[in-house]
Amino acid sequence: MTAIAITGSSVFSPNGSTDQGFWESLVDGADRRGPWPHRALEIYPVDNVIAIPEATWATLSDAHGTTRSKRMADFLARGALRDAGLPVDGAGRVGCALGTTTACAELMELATLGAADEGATGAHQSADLVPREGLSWQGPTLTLSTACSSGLLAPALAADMIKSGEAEAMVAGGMDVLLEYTICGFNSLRVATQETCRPFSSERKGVILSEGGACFCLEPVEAAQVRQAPIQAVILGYGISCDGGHPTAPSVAGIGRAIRQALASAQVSPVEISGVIAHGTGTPTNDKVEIEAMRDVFGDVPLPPVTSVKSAIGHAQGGAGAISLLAALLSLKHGELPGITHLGEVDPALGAVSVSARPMPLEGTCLMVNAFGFGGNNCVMIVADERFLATRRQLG
Amino acid sequence: MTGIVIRATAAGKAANDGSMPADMLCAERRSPRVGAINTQARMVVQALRRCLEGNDGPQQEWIGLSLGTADGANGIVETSLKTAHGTGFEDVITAWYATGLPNSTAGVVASLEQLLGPNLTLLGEQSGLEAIVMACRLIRARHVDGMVAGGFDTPASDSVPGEGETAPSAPVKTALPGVGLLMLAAADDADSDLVRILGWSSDMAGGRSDDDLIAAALAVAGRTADPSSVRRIVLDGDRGDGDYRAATGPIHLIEVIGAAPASGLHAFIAHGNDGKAVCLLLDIPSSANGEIGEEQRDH
Repeated sequence: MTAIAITGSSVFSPNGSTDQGFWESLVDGADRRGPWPHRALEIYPVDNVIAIPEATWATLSDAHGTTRSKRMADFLARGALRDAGLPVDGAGRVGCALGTTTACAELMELATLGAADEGATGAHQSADLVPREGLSWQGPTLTLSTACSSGLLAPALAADMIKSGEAEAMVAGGMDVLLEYTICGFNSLRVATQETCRPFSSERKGVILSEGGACFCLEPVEAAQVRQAPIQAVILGYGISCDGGHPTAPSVAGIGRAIRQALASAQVSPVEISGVIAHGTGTPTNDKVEIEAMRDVFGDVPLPPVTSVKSAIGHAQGGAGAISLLAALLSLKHGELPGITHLGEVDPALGAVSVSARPMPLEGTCLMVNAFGFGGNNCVMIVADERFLATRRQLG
Repeated sequence: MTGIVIRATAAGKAANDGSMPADMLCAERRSPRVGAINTQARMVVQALRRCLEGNDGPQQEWIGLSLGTADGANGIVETSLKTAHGTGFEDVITAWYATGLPNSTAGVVASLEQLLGPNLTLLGEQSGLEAIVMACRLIRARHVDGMVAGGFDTPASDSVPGEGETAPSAPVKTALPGVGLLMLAAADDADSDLVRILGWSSDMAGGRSDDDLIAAALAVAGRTADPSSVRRIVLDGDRGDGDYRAATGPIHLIEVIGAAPASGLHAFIAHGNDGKAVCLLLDIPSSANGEIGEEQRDH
């Protein structure tokens, strides 16, 4: 079986566009909340988001695209290629798979509100996020939208495209920008909190929306080793499922199926999972269902340490899964899971769960990453340090 | 037996004035499971049920859904924003956010029809065909036994011509509601009389010739053949009056298959008006009758 290596990554987040800045935001405990600076209405009950600072957006002035989504996609795709040491013109049989929840609606929103940039027209402008300017993708390209699982599902599907021989390497990830529509929607659903986001806490009251994304460069482990590219992590397997139930509420059975598929495809047993980057939105329903689903699959095996990055940097929607995957890569690098900022008291109703406000040391090198989305979309990925793969190969 | 078989197809097209025939929509308008069922979902449900009629293949609960859309649910985005700005946030309906997401139709349809396999929504002009390709990949990788795949669109008013220069789809001459779905499954020995999808390829950069696309699709299929020897059916990017957005490619593919082309390898190549091309390598069984030309250009 072809193992897929992650050899490059890029990030654009409320705390900048470097791995170091992103990791700091997960562990420094800072409160980055504030009102959305672009709101056109004054009347939303909750205006409590973690936005990318305007100064950070200004760093994308050289990126191609007529909207912020497209400029971010351009920046992230090139950044992942550059980090992997591959040509940034996309030469070779390299493809690109990007996930988003609502970035495709950005131009529609701008047009509806009369704020679209001049020249932001054309059918090709509307939905497809894959950057084109100066890039010559010779592998598959696609823009995926499975709500908030998009950013994790895109790399998962990209790994399959490499395994099938359609591409030598893939750039894949997810992103979203804050929109009036999104803020209006989460207010309407009454799932946005006016306080801090506290996944798995007895004091949790909901989601804090944010924006940003991450991209990765994937290629076969053997190809990475041949060109001596540093391997940040290895994708061992993934699972995808659909709840087939409520449009917005998660399901234990649906998430459980994705976890089981992921473990099976990775050929990993629950006891080998040393940590979980949970979807962890901080809504009572999501947290409860996510823990129940993991417990259902893990059975008698105690759950490993669980964390969520949304306490620190909010819920970047279609970018969230990719951001969680990047958090997993950096956790492997640092040998610890970031704590849950603002955690407070752990919800006793969740049972025995290993969560902490402080970083938790990793006792292994294999992590599970969860991302779930409206529409009942679930994606679970198993990633590991390169050493995990080497040990497995030694054991035959 | 290799490849992915097309077990069934279903298509629906609005008339040139935009009106939809009654049998293009399922009868239900509400469901206890999902609440109100909007036009997009009713259109896709109707086509999906036709695809699954008499399904004796994969169990329905293990079937996935892969849809492509260019406009998503932008009509609801538009309505939501205009309401918030026009009459106030208090008048925004709670369900509008979830139903305005691009993947809302796929989610609603999966809930209504209990499809528990992978549920994908791809975006863009060519996403209907890309959704078919994605479904084939998932089946070939054994993630799922069967997928219903294709495209749909019901263009939003601000995304079509006549609404000003900032309309996202301004170059599109017309944009009509449409849906085209295929029921796909892994081929088995009993499927010798069904059309199979053997390979696929795409080009986003616009630099690949049709021969290049066919060669890449042959490589995916593990076939060695001279691309010039493969019959081809080409759909140009200029759709004229027949633009069903992301449904255009699947609808045309269904019509080509329905015309019972000559047996053998065929490359179905669709050039989108966004410059992207998608190629499907089809194996037409000898049980099919009829002929198509060496090169058939439509629209």
